[in-house]
Amino acid sequence: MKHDCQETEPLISGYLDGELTQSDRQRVDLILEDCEQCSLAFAEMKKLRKGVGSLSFDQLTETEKSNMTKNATSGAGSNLGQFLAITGLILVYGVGACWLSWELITDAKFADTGDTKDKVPMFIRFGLPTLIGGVGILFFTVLFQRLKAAKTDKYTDVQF
Amino acid sequence: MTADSHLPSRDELEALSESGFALAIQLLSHHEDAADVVQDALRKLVHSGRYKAQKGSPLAWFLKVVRNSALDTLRQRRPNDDEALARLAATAPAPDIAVELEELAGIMRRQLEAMPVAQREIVLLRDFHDLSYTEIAEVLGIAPGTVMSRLHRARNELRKRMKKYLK
Repeated sequence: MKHDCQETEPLISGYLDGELTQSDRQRVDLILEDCEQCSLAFAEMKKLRKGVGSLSFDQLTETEKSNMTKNATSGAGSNLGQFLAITGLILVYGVGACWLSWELITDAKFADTGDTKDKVPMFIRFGLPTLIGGVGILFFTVLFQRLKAAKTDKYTDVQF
Repeated sequence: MTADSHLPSRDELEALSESGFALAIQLLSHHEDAADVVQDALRKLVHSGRYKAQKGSPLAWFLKVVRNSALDTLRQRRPNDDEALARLAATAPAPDIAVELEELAGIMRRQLEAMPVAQREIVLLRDFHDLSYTEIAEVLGIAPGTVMSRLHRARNELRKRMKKYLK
């Protein structure tokens, strides 16, 4: 069969791996019958393929394998714990801080009782809510940065 | 593992870690580095929660993560590490002695190690890990139509290097 060995050679790999269409397979069958060069390439590649398949490489020990599995799955628990802790913190901090700030700014207790002993000093009425707000902003900025970094981790984008 | 769980079972994790380690050691030639890479990949697999929700092969996904991580490790290494591997390859014994000593497998391993990573990995993914062309395309992030020609070029390179031992 007339052919250009250079051009048809890649088909030999596909043929060897059983990845060709039926018509290409038939074409390679004919080429291998006729062409000594392609036939030699096929024989050598077949030998190499078998050789690579039977190579042995360094392996994990049973202990390493077991530890790896343990570490990977225990990490999942800590992740869940982290998620719950963050959610709880947001709820407690968000609701609690807003309530406390509101109580302080409006000086609610003094407004109720009218007793001067309940009056909160001005620097605490406005200083503490400012501090709470500042810490809150810092916390959420760091949290969002962490989440953004996790989202842009190239391996988490790997799809099945 | 329950049927609806998205987490792999212990046996599945161990099987994946074996295959992942084989690829990592083939790319890195260093036990601890390869183990670190596999550990990270396992953690990602468990944390992604997508083990059972995937469309393709879990093994291909896992090997892709291992491969990317191994390539990062290779990039962080000093540039002369590759030269060291090439020197190691050049120390292969003469063909007659090698055959006598039945070291053909050792020579092939050294020649593979001396090949560029892109060629080494595609040969190993097909011939050692037995992945289909579609799975190889997934692992390498390339078009399935280009796998055959790339693989053939890589096999030709190995064939050239092993020519004197193939007779």
